[in-house]
Amino acid sequence: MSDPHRESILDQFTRQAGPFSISPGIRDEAALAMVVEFSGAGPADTVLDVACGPGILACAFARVARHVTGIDITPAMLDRARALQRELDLENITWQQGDVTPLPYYAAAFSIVISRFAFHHFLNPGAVLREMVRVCTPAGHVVVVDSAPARDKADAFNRMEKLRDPSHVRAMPVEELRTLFAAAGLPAPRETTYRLEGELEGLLARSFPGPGDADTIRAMFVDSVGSDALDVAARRMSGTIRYGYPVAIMASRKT
Amino acid sequence: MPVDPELLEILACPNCKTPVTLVKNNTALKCATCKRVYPIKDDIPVMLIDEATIED
Repeated sequence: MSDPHRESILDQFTRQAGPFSISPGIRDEAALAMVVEFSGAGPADTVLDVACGPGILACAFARVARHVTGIDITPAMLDRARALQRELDLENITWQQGDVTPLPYYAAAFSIVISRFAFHHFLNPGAVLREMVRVCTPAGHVVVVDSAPARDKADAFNRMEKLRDPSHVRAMPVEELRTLFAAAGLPAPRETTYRLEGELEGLLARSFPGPGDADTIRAMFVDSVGSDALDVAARRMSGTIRYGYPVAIMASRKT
Repeated sequence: MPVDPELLEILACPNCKTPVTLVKNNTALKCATCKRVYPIKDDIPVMLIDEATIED
């Protein structure tokens, strides 16, 4: 991670640690259950959650897997993760502070290696995926969950997201994620998609855009109602603007 | 809380991908290859190459 990007990530995620950890979309139990089930996790699995943030997914995996490791670069996020682990009384999780390239683990150390809502923050997502493959056991699962806008709307989506979160790099359409999996030597992934539902003002309250950018984002959402130019399913409802971010879950078994 | 022994079976120096061992009364992890020492802060290993110190 280059230093300016690392600083941006640390700045954004130190500020986001509180709001992010209580975000309804991020804590969505149904979505968490879907990710855990899609990953095929069971009692024999050892799981690595790459860029684990406040540990919500790691804790969901810990309920079914033998052991979960969460790694993140932002100490404030790891503080949240540990608090959640204590709240849920889960003992089979360990946390490390670290970067994603290189990951500080031996090859083939985990049977499931997953990353959720992080790939759009990586300057070199291909390198991160290759690291995830390296630390995954043969026949283990490599899973990526991320915003995945339609190809023809990805530029608009990414412009909006970069305003909302200056540490955003680029969310990739599903087609690009498939290419990334192939380039990392993985078989074609199983895929499913869902919409991460929420309300615009709540989203902005949990975000830290630059001065004046919140109004620009509001205008982009309003323009997207009807046209869906942002691919966020923006619609007016009871005086608010609701959205559904496009999310893809892609899982491949390492050969 | 002490570092989980199982953790030491998977944790490697990010620089060398070789073993790290507990040092300094279990408050740090050291790579035998590059001699980097990674601090353990509030029970969480900080596995960042640029925050490690090199100690012979």
